[in-house]
Amino acid sequence: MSQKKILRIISLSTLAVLLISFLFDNTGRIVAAVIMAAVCALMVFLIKKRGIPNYMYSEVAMVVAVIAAVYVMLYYVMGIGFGFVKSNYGEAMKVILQYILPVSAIIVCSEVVRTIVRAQEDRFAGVITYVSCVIAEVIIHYTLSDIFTFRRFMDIIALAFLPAVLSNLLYHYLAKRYGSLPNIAYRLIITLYPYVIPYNTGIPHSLLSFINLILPLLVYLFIDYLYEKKKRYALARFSKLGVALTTVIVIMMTSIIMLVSNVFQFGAYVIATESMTGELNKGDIAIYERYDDDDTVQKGDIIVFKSGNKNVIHRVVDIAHINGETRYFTKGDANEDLDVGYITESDIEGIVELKLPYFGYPTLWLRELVNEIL
Amino acid sequence: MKNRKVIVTAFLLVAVMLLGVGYAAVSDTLDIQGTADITATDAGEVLNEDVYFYKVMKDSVEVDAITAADNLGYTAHINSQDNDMAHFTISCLEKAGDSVTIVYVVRNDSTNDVTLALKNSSSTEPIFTVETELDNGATKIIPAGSSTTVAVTVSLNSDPTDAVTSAFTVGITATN
Repeated sequence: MSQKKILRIISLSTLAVLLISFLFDNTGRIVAAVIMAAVCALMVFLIKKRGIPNYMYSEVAMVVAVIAAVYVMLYYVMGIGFGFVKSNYGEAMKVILQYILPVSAIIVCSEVVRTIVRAQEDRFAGVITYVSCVIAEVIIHYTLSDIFTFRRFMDIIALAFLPAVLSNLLYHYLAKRYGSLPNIAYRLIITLYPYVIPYNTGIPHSLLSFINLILPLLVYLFIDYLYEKKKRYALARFSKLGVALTTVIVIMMTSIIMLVSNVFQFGAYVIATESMTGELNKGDIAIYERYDDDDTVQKGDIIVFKSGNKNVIHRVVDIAHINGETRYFTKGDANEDLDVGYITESDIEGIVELKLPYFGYPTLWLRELVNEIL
Repeated sequence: MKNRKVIVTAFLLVAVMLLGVGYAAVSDTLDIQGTADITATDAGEVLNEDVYFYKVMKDSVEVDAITAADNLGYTAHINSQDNDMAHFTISCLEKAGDSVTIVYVVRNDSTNDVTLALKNSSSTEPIFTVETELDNGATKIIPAGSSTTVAVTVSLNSDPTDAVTSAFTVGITATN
């Protein structure tokens, strides 16, 4: 049997078995580690052709390791603003056996496999290996049993799957040119730090997933700029249209993430109820400005406030000053009665400034669809 | 190379939009609004003025209305323009299994006994169940010149993981 055939059989089998291990619960990670170790051993013994990585591979490994370390450092520096949360992975031996060892095995073995496959220059095997590596990377963090609410579904897509798609493009690029060492160094730091450091930050998942999407792109641009001299571009070679388009896209993406994360000056809520029908209809997006001590809420303002664990958007219909406290009485425009009780300034999140009609429907549809399936 | 850039850029754009759609905060409902109405007929003739919502029960005592100041987690009152309609607003249901019962007093000022039966009961959301003591064909008789109580129970069937709005109605018929 030719090497090409062997390669393709192994790649396809790996993909199939990884897909099955995704169906496991917590043990999926260990199963994936065993699979990748077996595949790695098979590849090393059966596939003879090896690539010759660029002699700069150790330097590149150091550079990407430093980038990963800087990322981890910045992540915890941001915790100063967003707060810290204690991790709950359990005792040290459990963390080592259930997380650190299998995750390290998955990373090391998948990178060795990737490097061998890239050296064969077989496009089919390359694509299959790419998909397998994306799945393996998702399994590191989540398995199918973790999908039990819409929120978890979004976390798997946003924090694991989408970043894995882009990251593995970077890893494929680095593996072809510099071998497996840079990828192993980078991935071990980027992936293992939550299991080693007992605290996470309170960065909103939407913001964190955006950062994880952009990071591989930045690493690629940096390495490409430093080491691939023939591909350097002078700024003058970009067309004006290209620059304008890029600027618009960047502004759009940044605005979406800033609004959705609800931690910056402006935030957004999708209206999912009919209590404000007329002014804010179901499916609209309400853009609000964060409330701070200098702001004044007036009668008639539509405000975003917390009531228990709920986020409510209703209109202020009355204001009273009682015992030195300012009390706001609210009501949905379409509701018969006033809201029960009152709210104070500390409950107010923001004042609605703008609405985007119908823009929120994709969110409502997606939630309904996922909740139906779950 | 240019194609790859376009593909990666497009993927990034779609990914961010998906993040925006999926992670968008969703407003919650604060109150569950409900309405109960009585349609009273005597041999086809409408006699709504004789059979109507009279009072609301609070701790076994008849009161004109239950307001926010009573701090019961719901309010209940009778429509001042049309006493065939009663409204209630519930804000105290938080998790699966929570329920609240609101009891209205229905008065019969006619000269005949009337029978109360359920005409319809509907909720726009499966997360809530609305039950009355007139469900499953049960009826209640109000003797002439007297009154009886009608209880409406609203229960949460599952934890509200996402925003829910519900407006439900309970329709009651009173026949001679």
